[in-house]
Amino acid sequence: MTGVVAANMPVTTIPRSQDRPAKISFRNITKEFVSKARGPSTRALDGLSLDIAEKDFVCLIGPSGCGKSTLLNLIGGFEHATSGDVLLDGVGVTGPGPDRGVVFQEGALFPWLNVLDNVCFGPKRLDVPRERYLEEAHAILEEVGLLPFAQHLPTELSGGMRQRVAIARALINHPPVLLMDEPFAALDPQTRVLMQEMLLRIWEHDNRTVLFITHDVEEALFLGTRVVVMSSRPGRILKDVRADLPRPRDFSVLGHPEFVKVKAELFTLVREQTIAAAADASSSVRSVRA
Amino acid sequence: MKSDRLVAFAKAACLPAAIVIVWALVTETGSVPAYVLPSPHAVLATLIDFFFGGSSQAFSGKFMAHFVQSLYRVVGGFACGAILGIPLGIVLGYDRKIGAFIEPTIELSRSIPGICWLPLALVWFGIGTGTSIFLIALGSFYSIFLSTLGGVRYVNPVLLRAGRSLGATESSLLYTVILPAAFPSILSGLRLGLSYSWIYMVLGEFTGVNYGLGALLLQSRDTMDTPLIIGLMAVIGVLGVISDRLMLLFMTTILRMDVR
Repeated sequence: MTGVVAANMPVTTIPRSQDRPAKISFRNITKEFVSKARGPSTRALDGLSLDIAEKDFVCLIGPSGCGKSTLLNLIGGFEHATSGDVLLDGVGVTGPGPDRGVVFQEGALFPWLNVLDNVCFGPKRLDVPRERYLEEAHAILEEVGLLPFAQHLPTELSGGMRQRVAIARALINHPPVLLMDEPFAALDPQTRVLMQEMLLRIWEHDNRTVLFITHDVEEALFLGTRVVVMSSRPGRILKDVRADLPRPRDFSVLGHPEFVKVKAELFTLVREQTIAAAADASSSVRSVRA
Repeated sequence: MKSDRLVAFAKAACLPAAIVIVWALVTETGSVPAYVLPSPHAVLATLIDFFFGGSSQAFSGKFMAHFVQSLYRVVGGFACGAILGIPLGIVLGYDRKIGAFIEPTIELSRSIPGICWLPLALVWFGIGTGTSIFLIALGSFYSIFLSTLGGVRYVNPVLLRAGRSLGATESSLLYTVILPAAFPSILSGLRLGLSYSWIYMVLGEFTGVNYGLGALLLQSRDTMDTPLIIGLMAVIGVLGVISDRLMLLFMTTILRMDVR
């Protein structure tokens, strides 16, 4: 970021061209879901294209059901596009893999494993030598502040602690890409801010490529280098802004006048889309009833 | 903590205590004939005689002899049910394509009540241990099989996604995610199967074997020994509870299964 931008215009609409190579590319993606019960298919994404540069922290926001989680599931390899290309380093994604760490909304920790064993799950599958992964697990648990809880089961932890384990579990594989699907949505606001700061601290340290799904405008602006707003279904990209607020960031940036202004703009945009989605839903309900 | 458990125990004991008091009142006063409903102390005396001996009755001091026979049949039949039910449940739960061939048949055969198999079992295995073990295996198989199948098939999909994205291959997913996730279901299937085993043990021994708790139960009807009938019912019930607790203990401590 340039000094002028940082001082006067923390947030600008970014140019399409990027100075870094695309780590993740969505090319003209269409995704349809066929409902066995209701017959006609639902089009979640319609010709969407998005490039995510290496070391970008992209936050994807949009109304519920706009297909933002679908986008993450496509790059995660959990789902396949109806048409279009999903590329990682220019190569088509065929399935999930340890090169893309995933943090799910509810953590998805293995309930039968304690914290340490949850974190060590990945390296064990990848045949990392035991001494090495134990050392790394300790370091990473220290980093997220959970070393004293290494022997606890997930059920014995709070929601915030569980998400920290989930982040540690994803990071220990050193994935070049981190995919996060509303990871803090279920947390209380105080815990959420602490988790966001922790995530930023980790990211500012290693600068991996992050795709972060959220419905919280403030969270997106606070965390991302780039905020992408999606329309209501079928999901298209409405706005793509670069969030050039100074780093390292902490919660004090939330009061920054420019932050507040852009947040209001984006909030209005998402609100319009949410209203449109609701209107669309009620009209389709009417047509079904008619 | 300790007083909490004491209070819970006291609450649980209220109803049984009331039943015993009413039972004692109606029997000791003679308002119900003793051959229909013997008094609590008559049942207790019979049980003491059954366990420790002391009278000239045929069953006197013979608890262990009968118990060992019944236990042998329960363990044998239950083991057969588990050895068949768990692997089959895992395979059919894991692979729907194989399941499509076998599951409907098992579902269909399940609707035949277990007791209907008794005549055929007698033809096949004759009176005695073979028939009992067959019936127990059959009775415990379905609950073990179905719980295992359900546990394996309906593993939370997000855990599978997590496993795959952390580097588990499709084949390693089975023992790193699917089986551990299905463990609580498998355990509840085993517990249910074990309780069915005691039920079918009694049925199997009703065919006229000499030794076994169920056999003795049938014999005591023939001799109209009501105190022994009621005493044996209580013994079989208590043994069911004890075996369930022992299995729970085994699963949680030795296998370190997560029971929740």
